Amino acid sequence: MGLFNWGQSQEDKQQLATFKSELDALENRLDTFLAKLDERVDVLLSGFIEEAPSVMAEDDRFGQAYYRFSSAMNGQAGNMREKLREVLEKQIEPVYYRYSDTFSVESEAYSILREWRHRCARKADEWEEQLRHRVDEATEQVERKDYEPVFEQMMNTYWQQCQSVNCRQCGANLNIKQVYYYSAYVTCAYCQTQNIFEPGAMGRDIEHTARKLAEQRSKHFMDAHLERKNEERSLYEQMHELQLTLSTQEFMTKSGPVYEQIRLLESKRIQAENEAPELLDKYYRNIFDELTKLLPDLEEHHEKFFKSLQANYQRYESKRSTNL
Amino acid sequence: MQEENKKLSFIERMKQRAVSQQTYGGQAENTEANTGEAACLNCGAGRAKQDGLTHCAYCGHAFITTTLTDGSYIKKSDNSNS
Repeated sequence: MGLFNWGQSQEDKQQLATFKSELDALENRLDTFLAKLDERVDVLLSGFIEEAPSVMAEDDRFGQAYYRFSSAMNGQAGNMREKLREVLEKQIEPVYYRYSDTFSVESEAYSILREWRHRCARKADEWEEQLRHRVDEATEQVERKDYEPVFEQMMNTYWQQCQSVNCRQCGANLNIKQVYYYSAYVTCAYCQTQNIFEPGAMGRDIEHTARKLAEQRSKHFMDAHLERKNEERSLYEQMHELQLTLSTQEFMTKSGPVYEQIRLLESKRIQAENEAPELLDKYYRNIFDELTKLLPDLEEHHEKFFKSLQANYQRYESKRSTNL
Repeated sequence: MQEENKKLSFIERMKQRAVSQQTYGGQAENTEANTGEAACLNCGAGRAKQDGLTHCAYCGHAFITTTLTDGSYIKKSDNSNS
């Protein structure tokens, strides 16, 4: 196999055909393997969606059994991903390295080899991306619930439990009037004893559930934000397509019907680009407004939390430069 | 049909393990709202708000032998920090 004149002789042509058929066979095997993995994912996720409600129904209020069940599902999905990576590393990559040393970089065989390797890697990447997406979707579907009744029930139970909390020294009712999120000293109004008030598992969970409820109530802002962001991206892509069709004349003079169309799209795009961060701001603002409504005594804490979150996401805000 | 049974059992096994497995450190306790107290070693009375940190308000038993001064959080008149 000569390095420079490779591919000229009859023998080389025959070798090229064998080489191609070897690559094709390997790629077919990869396709079959991916299809089998897909079947396995179907079984795993449909089983997960089917069984999760019964696991949740029998679970304690901390959801420990469900947590183990979803971890098992994630572990299975992770195993499949690892298997695929192993196939790439042990079956695909070695073939690439074995041949890449023997072919000239400019030869046809080398470009076939390189494309084959890229195609296989892309197939694996796409499969992994799809797996991640499907796992997220299934988890979301299973975990979705309405937090309104959950929160209401928690608050009712907390107040009910508080009614029967008495002083350890004199037995008088402690008359708890606020939500305590952790253990606190509560002084008895009659004998001045420092009681250590323990809010209980449910009381400690109130703040956490309130956050989820507030997020649920503000979700429409997040949806609108994502919609605007996608809209901006699609407008940008449309503009790009049009820009590719511009003639040199139109490009240089920056005029003509296509250019006008691009300008129109650009103005829409800028509007969407400006509105997206405003909606994100509204989303977070609404979360903390709702939280303050639910738990008024934590208002100061909510404001601090909002400011720190805002500073964080605003730091990564950026705008496109389109240079029209 | 046989293959379907096999597939079902794979999820079933996963579920069974998730339900029956014990958590490291034991099951999480679902406690209700309640009170606790730091009782006097001598007479068993609860700790009083005023001066309760250094000595028992009922029998005078000394918990700590120290003279409290005014600090940032704890004051000598009320040393309960709440």
